[in-house]
Amino acid sequence: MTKSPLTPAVFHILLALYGQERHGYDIMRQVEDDSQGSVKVGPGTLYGSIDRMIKAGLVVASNTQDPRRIYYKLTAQGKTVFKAETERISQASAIAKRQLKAA
Amino acid sequence: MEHIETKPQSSSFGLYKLLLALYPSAYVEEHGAEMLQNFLDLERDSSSRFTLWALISKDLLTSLIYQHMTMKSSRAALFAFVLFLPFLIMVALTILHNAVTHNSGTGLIANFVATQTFLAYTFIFILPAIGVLAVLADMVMDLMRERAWNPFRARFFRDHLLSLGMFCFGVLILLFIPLHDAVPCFVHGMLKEGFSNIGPLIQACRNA
Repeated sequence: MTKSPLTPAVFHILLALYGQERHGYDIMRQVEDDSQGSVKVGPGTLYGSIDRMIKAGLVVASNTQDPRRIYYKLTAQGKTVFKAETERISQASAIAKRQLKAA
Repeated sequence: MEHIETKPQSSSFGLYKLLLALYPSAYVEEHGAEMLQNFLDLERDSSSRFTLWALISKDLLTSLIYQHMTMKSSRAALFAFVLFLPFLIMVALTILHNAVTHNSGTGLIANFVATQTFLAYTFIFILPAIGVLAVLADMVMDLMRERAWNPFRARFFRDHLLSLGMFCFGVLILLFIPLHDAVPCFVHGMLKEGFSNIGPLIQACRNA
């Protein structure tokens, strides 16, 4: 999960959790807002992705503030992977913009 | 995660609760309560039932397939599917050939396979039979491992949905040889004559 480019859902979940712990529904809303509606994750996809991210050491379940919900937060590795992926996307975007201008 | 906001439970919520039973049991035990809570939140914030179910249907389809495919018990099902592939490719090519040539009879591919005894037995019988046996053996071994002597338990069904589906599909393929002429004959006869001559019809179609 950390070597290859992240899937849009995983990238947006990392983005949603960066700097703030959130519960499942909050993550779903934030992903939709951040992607301006282009990425929508339902409950099944969300928890499947979170399970994989927990296994990869990117996310952990946080101490529950709310008895009805489980909150999730990024690990240090999750933050590193998110920063690296953002950097990769920025570089690719810069190259693409240069190519578009040259064409 | 024991409490769920369940004031007035809608029919959509009831349906979603039922559909959750299709996920592997370990997944539902871990995330089921949260998923139900999320569904209630989604339902509350959705502009219409259509938008709610558009999202949920897509989510269910993709996540159900993924969750079942990644289960250890699905390996045999995937192995069986690989063994069914030659048969499926042959059927697809035959349908394609018939569609292109507007030939309502047996297609070129099917004719070719049917005349090559070894190929026909391998594609239509041996490979699917190995697939069916592999899935069956895997399910029996899981039953013995889990010491769950009742295969009709909901948990076993849920955790072997893909295997059970593949087993039924394999059995249908194996029934193809004796029934691929008899069934259309029987259906056609029933539509034409109804129940009046059912005995002679079965006799006639048995030899079709």
